[in-house]
Amino acid sequence: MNRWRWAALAVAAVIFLNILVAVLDSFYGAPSGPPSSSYATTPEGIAAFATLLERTGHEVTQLRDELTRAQLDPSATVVILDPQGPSPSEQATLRTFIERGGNVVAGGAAPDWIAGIAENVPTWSPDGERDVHGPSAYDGVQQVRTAGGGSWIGSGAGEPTLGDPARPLAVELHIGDGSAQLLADTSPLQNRLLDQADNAALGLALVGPPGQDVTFVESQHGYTRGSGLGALPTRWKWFCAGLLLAVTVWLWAKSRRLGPPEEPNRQLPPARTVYVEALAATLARTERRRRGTK
Amino acid sequence: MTLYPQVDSEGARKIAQDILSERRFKPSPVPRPFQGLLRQLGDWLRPVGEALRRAFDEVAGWLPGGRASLWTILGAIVVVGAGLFAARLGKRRARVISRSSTLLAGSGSQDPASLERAADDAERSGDLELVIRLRFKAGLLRLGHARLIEFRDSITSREVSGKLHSPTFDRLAHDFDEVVYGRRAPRTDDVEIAKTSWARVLTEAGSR
Repeated sequence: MNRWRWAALAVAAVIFLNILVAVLDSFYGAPSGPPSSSYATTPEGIAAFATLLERTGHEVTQLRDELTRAQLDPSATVVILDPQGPSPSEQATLRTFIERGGNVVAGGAAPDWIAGIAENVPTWSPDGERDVHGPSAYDGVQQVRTAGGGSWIGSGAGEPTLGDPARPLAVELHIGDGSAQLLADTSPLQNRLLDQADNAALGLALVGPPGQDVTFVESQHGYTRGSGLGALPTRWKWFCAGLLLAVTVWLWAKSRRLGPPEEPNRQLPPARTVYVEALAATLARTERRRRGTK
Repeated sequence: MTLYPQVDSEGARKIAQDILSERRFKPSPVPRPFQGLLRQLGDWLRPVGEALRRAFDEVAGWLPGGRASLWTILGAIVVVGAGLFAARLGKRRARVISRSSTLLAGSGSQDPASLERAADDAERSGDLELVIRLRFKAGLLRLGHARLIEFRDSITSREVSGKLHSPTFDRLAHDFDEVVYGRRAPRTDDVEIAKTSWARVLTEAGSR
């Protein structure tokens, strides 16, 4: 077998193993979900944070509509962490919500979109401290453990609320009648670190007092209200498209219509490998091989 | 600085620990031998994916209908591209089939020289198996013309070997059987041997 076939077999084996693992995971209920989603039970998800809020008296909802179509109550808190990237109209919706008195907890890696909801936001840096100590605007929050995934450089038009004021982990911006709590690193609220140091207390402090409604924007993590084909996750759509393409190419390649209408000459019979092997097997089973061979 | 509602830090931590002890947060017992490698691959490819997503959103913003229109256009491009590729592939295969058929047409001839010319053409086009077939038949015909064997289309290598007692022929027949019936991939030295050994067969057979 030539090396290309070996390489193709190796790739096929890896794909098969991954499919097998995914099927087994579906029986065992393995953690799943995108980073910073309140549905996600993976180490980078925040399902535990959502459950913590429910257990401490908050009404938790998940928003699966686009922000522009949502009816956001200005007395609530909206949590939008590591989003796919709100469109300009969605950013405008968030800004209006804050101006009317809403509280937004936002953040994640390279959050360029935050500039669409407020002016003079601090610059984000990918370097952050793993152990963040005061000063802290949150009573009961003295030390926060992070994955070291980011920090703000200064506080822009806002106030630093956690960590070194020159490189804070959290900044608060007042916009109209509301405020935005900007987290440079969302890892303290993620499942992997929520039970470390004062991280859980930080999460509770960010969303407001007990009884505050909290809405997680899950439409920004790929969860939508689509129906029919629209309800399929984006990954599934890519998979189906790729499969359709592969089948289409295979059908065209196999089709006889693409060859000459009729061969001008007779094709020679195929090699009689199977016949020879069958005959050899028969001869091998006989006791009188010499006579059989003759 | 704004005062925030005081929370019981110790209590919140305990609730979080209790939540995280639930089964749904535990890793799957299914072994994942490639997880580290695939995760690293995903990390390397993430900037590419992000760039593609930003470019997609940018272009979708220009089109009426947004993302749906862009997906439709991309899908049409993929289908048309696949069709053009498959058509080109089919034409190339049709040319190969036609060329093989034309060359094989020569193999119906009973003239060794025309068979050998067809074999030269096949060698130039890279069809080594056809070269071996045509030269073998040409060789048998020459043996027939020299009255060393009674040539017929159904004659077997064993019969010829029994007549000639030629080690060179036995080698040629062995290679022919391996390539044509045993589906061994033909090599360039098989072709060289097919070209140069028949003269020796005639000499060895004629000397008996």
